[in-house]
Amino acid sequence: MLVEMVNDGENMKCDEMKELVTLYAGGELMPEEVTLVDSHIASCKPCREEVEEYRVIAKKLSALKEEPVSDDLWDDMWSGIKEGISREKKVIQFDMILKYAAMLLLGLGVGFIGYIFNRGQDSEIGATAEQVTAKKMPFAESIVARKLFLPNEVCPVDNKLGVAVSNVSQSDLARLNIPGGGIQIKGILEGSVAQNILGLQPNDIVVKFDEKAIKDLDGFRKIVDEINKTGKLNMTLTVVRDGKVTNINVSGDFEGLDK
Amino acid sequence: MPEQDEVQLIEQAQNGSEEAFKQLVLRYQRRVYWIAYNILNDYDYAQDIGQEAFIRAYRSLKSFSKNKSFYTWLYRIVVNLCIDYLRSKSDVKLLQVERMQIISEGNPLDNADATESLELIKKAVRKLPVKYRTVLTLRDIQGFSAEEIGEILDCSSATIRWRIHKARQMFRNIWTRKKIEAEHDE
Repeated sequence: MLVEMVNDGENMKCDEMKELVTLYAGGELMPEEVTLVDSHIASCKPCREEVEEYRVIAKKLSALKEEPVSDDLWDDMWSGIKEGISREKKVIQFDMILKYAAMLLLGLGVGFIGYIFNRGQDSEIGATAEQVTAKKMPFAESIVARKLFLPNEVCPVDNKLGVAVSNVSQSDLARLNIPGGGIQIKGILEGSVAQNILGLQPNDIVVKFDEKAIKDLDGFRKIVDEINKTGKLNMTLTVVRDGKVTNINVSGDFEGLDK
Repeated sequence: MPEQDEVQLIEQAQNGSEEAFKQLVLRYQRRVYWIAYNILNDYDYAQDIGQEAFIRAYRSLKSFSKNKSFYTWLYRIVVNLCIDYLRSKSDVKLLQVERMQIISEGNPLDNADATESLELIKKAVRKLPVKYRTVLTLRDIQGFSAEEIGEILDCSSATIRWRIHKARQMFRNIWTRKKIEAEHDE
């Protein structure tokens, strides 16, 4: 390593200098390294010239920092940004057909699922996928067969929404640039509220409900409890899907959820 | 440490104030643009990506901790966008059309040599692999400290130091070669 060099500069060989000469002009060297270089180049012309070359390079590069441009560029840029912000604010409206179709599926799907999974019980976050399967009614085998996506690990499950969820790993959070955290949909049941009403898909990462950041499972549970209690849906979900951030606007009532 | 007024701006923007966000944009859009331009060497892409960086920042603003450094967070967004963009281009050369540097004042002929030499430098920068180009941009072109660069790129200072060293070494080799080629063309 650079700082382990014991020799004083004069006795140093030129190739030992290689790593120091690039950093000398830029000021990244430790004081003792600067001294080493100074004493070496005092008696070594080639290295002195190389140091000078890097000094010139640094100066030329710094000239690229900015160029003269007209103010129109900044105005233009702000317009683009403003437009992007408006888009973020706008809700994506379900059109009427989709809403009615959702209501229809709701009547069919939720009542069905409500019967299968609830049987008068509260939502069971903490149950494993196997336990969910174990509780099924005789004709629920068809549900298992129709499962859109089966989680491959033990995940908390919400029966009323029909999702299995998990926290998002740190590396994924960093890679997808969602520092605030989120909840990943690991499993989703066909015909479920999560699929048809909320429009969620497997591997979606839910980062916000109505501007409230979802950092972890607790945050998710609170929101889910709220939905389950009121039966009213009027919210915007912000999800990261295939690396892109999308907003889903959901509205309407759903009956039969708590039956 | 961020200045108080910036913390306030961020807070207001987080609460939905577009005017507050605009102030942040005005404060940082130049740097954002030129960082993007230096890495991509294209004025249009620099503008697109610069815009996108701010839009993404707006999107993630609520989860930004206002006592952290806004500009290193913002610059990280723009650098990552540039890197993602270049990776998506893979082997295809970026920017086929050479753009003339816009000189607003002075006799163009006087500046011809300067323009040419500047273009040569830009060409040499463009030849660097992305991770070296990024570090060279941030350190030698934009003048950020090694610590700031470490925060922006989320790398250790040892890694940054090594990259600066390799980037400059590589740049020197490429630039020297280009100068020789240019002389032969004359």
